Amino acid sequence: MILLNIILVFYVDLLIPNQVESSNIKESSALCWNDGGLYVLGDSGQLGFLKDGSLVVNSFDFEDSEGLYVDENHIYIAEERSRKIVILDKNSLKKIDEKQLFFSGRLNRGFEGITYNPISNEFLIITEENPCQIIKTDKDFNTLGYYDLLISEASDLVFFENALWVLSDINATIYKLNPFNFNVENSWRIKVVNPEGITFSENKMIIVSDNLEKIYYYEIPQ
Amino acid sequence: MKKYIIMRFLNNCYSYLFIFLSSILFSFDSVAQYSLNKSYDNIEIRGNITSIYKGRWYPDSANYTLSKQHKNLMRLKDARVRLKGSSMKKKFNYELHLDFANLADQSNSPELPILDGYVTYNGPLDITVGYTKLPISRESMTPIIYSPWLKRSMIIDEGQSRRDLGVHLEKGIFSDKINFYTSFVNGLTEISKQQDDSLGYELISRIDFAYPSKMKYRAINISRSALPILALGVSYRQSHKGEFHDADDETIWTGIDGLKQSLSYDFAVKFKGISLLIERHQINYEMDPIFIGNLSIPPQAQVNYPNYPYVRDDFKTKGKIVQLSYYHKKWRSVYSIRYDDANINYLEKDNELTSYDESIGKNEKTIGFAYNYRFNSHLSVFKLQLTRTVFAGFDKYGATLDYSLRPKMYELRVGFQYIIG
Repeated sequence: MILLNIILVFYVDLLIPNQVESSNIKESSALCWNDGGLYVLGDSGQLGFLKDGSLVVNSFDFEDSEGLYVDENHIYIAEERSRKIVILDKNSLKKIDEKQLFFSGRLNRGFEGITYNPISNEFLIITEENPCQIIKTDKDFNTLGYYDLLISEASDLVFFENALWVLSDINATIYKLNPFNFNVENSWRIKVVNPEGITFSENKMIIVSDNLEKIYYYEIPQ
Repeated sequence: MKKYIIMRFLNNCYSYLFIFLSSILFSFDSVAQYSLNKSYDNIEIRGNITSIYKGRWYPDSANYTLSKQHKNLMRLKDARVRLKGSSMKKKFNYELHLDFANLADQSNSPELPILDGYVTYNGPLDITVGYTKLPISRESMTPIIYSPWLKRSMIIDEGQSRRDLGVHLEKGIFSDKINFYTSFVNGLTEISKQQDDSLGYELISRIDFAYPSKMKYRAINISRSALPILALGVSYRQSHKGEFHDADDETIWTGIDGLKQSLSYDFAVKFKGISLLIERHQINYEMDPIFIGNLSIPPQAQVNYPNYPYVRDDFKTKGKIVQLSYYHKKWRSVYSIRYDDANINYLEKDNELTSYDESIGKNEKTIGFAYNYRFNSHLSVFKLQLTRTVFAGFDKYGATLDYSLRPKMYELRVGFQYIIG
């Protein structure tokens, strides 16, 4: 199994986007598809909601906001340096809580993404590198465990169709992982400079580039 | 002697500091802590240890090779500890960066152990106060741990002051595609003095532009950019001092008794693992007439000084760098070739006041190859570099050295770089 994982990490196909548009969010670092629209988070605290061609942007005082997950009632922001998860009310956009998790890696190699596994009812937070880990928590953000990944670097993750999808900036690669043991099941290359966020709509995979501030739409890889 | 005693004292202080830092690093149930968080007040501990072997030989002169044999040594190049952090949601950030390897030199003049010591206020403009790197060129601003080389090119390494104490301003626009830097510093060789009787300060400014995205100060294209990224930078520095600093014929003078102006251009490209860097440096030294500050000599007395005020020769220093590197991801290897030259402290041929020609001044040309093997993604790297240097020119002062008599030199540096944190 370890050998298979190593092969999958290096053997990858190239994906080509079929649509590209500007994100209009400074240093776009995370995406989340919800309510038929696209939430886009910027590194310096901008949060945009893009739906039917119109973009609504709000600014917040986050510190290095790098991860984003949105559910029915809440917006969850993962801050890279502070190791905090800031929870906003989705309608009022007021901060209602924050949780601090333990991670002793480098400050600028901290939290890069957050998602939710609806099967196990757990939040999953990914760290960038050295180590590239998934931190598993319960619904109240009590830490359940730290899991080292075979992937060397990660910039975001998302749960979609019973799989965990991890985006790597340095490797310009998308990895499909088993959501429970985190083994790599498949991987695809992308030609994007500094890809920082990944999400899925009903029929598209969506990637955002931080440096170029562009959103790329792909067919969902099979 | 006084300096030696002070450095011995500092040595002891740093030993205690080292023990203190180690105790933080390995406390908490023996789980290493590289960062600590107190809400939005964060600190991290990093460092690097690099040991190298340096060997030189001169194929055209067995005697020269033999006479320089004692310089073929294993060296502790870096033993660095770096405390870096921020507070108030990154409104402030700071860094204290020390190199204990500098203290290992037990001579009377060990190097200063401080590499960085500053606090930055991040507002509409980033304002840094303290001791840190100066924005003089892309090569100089790239940390050596992110370079495939163990030694920088001559025009950067041979005497240019690359760090200084003062106020440093920085502003990035268009997602940091365009960056402005300005430093207003002492322009001295020492971090602090009781007083500076050498007159003026030093001003350094830089602007760089990158497209289609910002370009970090890194010498290797680790992300193997899918698109070509270009960067262009221009730096200017100027000081007007009243005395010489580091006025050694073989090195670039930190300050002169007069006006020192420096202009540098750099151009870089990164694409699919390839990195290209081209730099050009030009430094002009305009000496003040001698007896400046003593203008009270009455005209009738000036007959004793027929050349009063005596005008000294204006000197120049110039150099360039061309460096091409390739990152081979599958083999975890970096290959790099570099050509660099430096013509240090030379007189211009058309200088009407002298009979010297441009061969005056130290002239070095080096071509080299570097290889890196990266053990992991966090910069545990085996580094090797092999260079060939030829010398020319001669100096006007002191020993009237004829550098062209020096045989060409081959140098091998092999080392291992380990990053803590």
